[in-house]
Amino acid sequence: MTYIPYRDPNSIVMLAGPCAVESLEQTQEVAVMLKEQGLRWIRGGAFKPRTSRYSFQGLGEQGLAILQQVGAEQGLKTITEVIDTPHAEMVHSYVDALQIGARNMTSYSLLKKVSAITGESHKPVLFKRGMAATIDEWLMAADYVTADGNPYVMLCERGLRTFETSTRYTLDISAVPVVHQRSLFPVCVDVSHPAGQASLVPDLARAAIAAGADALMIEVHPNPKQAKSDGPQQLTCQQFVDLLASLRHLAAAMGKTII
Amino acid sequence: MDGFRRSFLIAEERRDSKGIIEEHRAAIDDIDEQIVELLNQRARHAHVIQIHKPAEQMALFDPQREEEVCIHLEECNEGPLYNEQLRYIYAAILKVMKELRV
Repeated sequence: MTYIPYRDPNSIVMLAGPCAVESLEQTQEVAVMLKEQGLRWIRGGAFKPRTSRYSFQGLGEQGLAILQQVGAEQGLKTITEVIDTPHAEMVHSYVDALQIGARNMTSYSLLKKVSAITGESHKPVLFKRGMAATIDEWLMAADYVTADGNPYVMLCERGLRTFETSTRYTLDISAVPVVHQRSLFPVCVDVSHPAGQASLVPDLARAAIAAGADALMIEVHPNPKQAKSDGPQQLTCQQFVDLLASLRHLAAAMGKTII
Repeated sequence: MDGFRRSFLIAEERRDSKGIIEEHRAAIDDIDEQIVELLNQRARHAHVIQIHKPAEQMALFDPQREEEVCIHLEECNEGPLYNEQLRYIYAAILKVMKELRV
């Protein structure tokens, strides 16, 4: 299988936004900030794959509608996670890019469905690494997503389950150069999930850029303390703005621009 | 059979087995020499391919090609190794070939 490479060596795509879309106001507040910062994308979960079935499961289609509205208002492209094969086309119709989460890396029926849908639309797919998957297993699974001709698949490292408990997951930063060496896929690093706490996010984000990441995913919430999911790891808007300024310096030193 | 003869026969059997083992170990040493030479030949081809892949927009890790390699192994496998056992061996060979630094 050959892939059409679309890695832009001069830019780093920032995929920031709330863990979950909780309300129009919450999503708007983040979107306005992202737009002011000159960024192009907003992320937001509508269907949340939660460890406990009693946790907040997301607003569903209503959340997608909010994300779409806010994206249109601010001129931001939208990305959200698709977790169910039967919902895939509906989710796809609302957003500019789909995310397949770590828990679904080996859900082959979902991968085939996303491949079929995006094979026509060529909407980008962010394909997260399973929390116990080897890089080669991840690369093989990615071929299910590109099977129907969508070349716009970006891999996303999000941390591994290890014996370490001081972070939520252990971020495998070496996945970035290894994927670059072994494949033609661009690589995103989700720094929020492995951190598990906002205070670790800035250093992990800098590490990801230094390792050569093509994109970063960072969770931002207007009021993380009130967040319905993953509050401790989400940055406030101000924290994100400060971090972005620092990241822009680092990116510039590497001849890159954060978009 | 007295004790002396019994221990003499056991010693003979042992010497026979020992001889057989030495003979086969010598054969294995010869084969290993060939395998090492062949693996290095294989590595040289893999290295040339790796150099030319970027120009063809081909990835270093190509799961489809690796499957073709394994199917080819199975086609020429006449045993006693099982196909699955050959795949185990080749998993290591293919891993090393991807990580060549010549």
